[in-house]
Amino acid sequence: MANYKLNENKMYADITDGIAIIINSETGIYYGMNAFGTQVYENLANGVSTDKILEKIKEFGADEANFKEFINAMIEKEILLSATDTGADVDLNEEIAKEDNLIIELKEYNDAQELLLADPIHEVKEEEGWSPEKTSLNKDKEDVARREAKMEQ
Amino acid sequence: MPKVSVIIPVYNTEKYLKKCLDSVVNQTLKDIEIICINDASTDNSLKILQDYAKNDKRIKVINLSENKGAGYAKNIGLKVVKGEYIGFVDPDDYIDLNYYEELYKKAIVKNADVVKCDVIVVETNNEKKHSNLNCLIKEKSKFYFSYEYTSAIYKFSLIFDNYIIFPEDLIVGEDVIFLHKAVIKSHIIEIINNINYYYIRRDNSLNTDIYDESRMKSAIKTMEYRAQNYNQAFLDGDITQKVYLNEYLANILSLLQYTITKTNEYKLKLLCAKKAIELFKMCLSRNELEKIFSKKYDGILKYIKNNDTKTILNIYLKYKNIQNFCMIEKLRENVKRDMKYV
Repeated sequence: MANYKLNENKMYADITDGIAIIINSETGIYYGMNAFGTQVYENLANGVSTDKILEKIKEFGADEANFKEFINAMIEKEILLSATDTGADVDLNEEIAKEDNLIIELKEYNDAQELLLADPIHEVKEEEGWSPEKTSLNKDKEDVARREAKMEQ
Repeated sequence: MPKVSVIIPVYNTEKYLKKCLDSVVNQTLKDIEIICINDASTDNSLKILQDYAKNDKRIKVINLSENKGAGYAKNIGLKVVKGEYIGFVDPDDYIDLNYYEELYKKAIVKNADVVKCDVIVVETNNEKKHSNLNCLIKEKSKFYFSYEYTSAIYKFSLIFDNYIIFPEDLIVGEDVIFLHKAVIKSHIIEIINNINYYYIRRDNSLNTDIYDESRMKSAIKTMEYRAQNYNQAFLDGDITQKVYLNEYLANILSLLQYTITKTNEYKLKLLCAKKAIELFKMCLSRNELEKIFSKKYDGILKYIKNNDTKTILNIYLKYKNIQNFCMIEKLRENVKRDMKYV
């Protein structure tokens, strides 16, 4: 049995219309799930134990391997962190699971990284911004020799 | 003229001061002056300074009769320095013995305005962590150099020709403003690795994550000063319009981020959001800034224009940043299409 919670330091999660979107604010990569996946994720993020969730989805006829794969992917992507048991009860809707053919789906997207990354400084192009090496190396040898001589004094 | 003037502002640090002073007086670069400003310490700090000064003529102790704060103390130091370059060491930190020799060498060879070295953060359990700020500065932008000001030396003329001083009305961030102006005015900033400034994290250190009201107000003021610095830099032609807009925007977004990271009090969060709107309106290229918002953060522009502080704050508290707020529905549509729901 294991319990999880959302890694709030890195991830922003929003569930609307039964579809969860999770954004990694450090990388700008985001994740989407189908409706059944969203339900399972919501239970996990609420601290419902994996045993309880598994028992329920098995009743629906869903595949245990698919469930484990889903959890492992979310741990690997640092969406979920281990947590203590909140004792929360499982809340899953069989109809939604069946509409998705009992398949839990998680997909990764990188098509909006630039827009999602928080730091606009990245946008400054090197030639328009600043480059320490170029400016400092732009000195002739005599000048450097003169300065080195001064340093020895 | 000494090669480097070292300014050490001291306030109640008797426990750490000897280690700090030992690392400074034993520098391999001998031609330095050491200006210690005792900011009316109530512990044994002054006595320690005076003892060291008796044995080393390079040490000058200035004793303030009342506590005036770090900004004031450091400005007193700036008034008396004579060195070619100026450095700062906090009285609870320490430095490598070849620290000023290596920084100065680099400064002279490269004719640098600023030379910065590595910072090692020493945690309370004595664990040492390497700061990665230098990589960001080198690889991305000099404007990443927005803290760690003690890990550098500054050319005398850079500081005095541009009248760069520490604000005296801030409880936190006075160093940020000094550094900010120095970075803006610098043409050559050099980074050297493998020379270390050791930053000691203390139990009662001010560097906790959540600020109380007076520190929060100082932090907000710091962001306002930074915005003013950018405006002046843009007017003076120190930065291009593109850099100006990027940095100005980053400053506003950082201030909005404070609503989540720096305070738990709603009225202080509201104060941050209010100031962020003010700063938006203080931008000298407001039309251009609005264009950036229309392109990237369209959903939020109308609230800024209407001074709708509460809505902006609520958006921030719910979505964590404006990118998430402006993008989330587009992302969801994309996922729905991909999963063939629409």
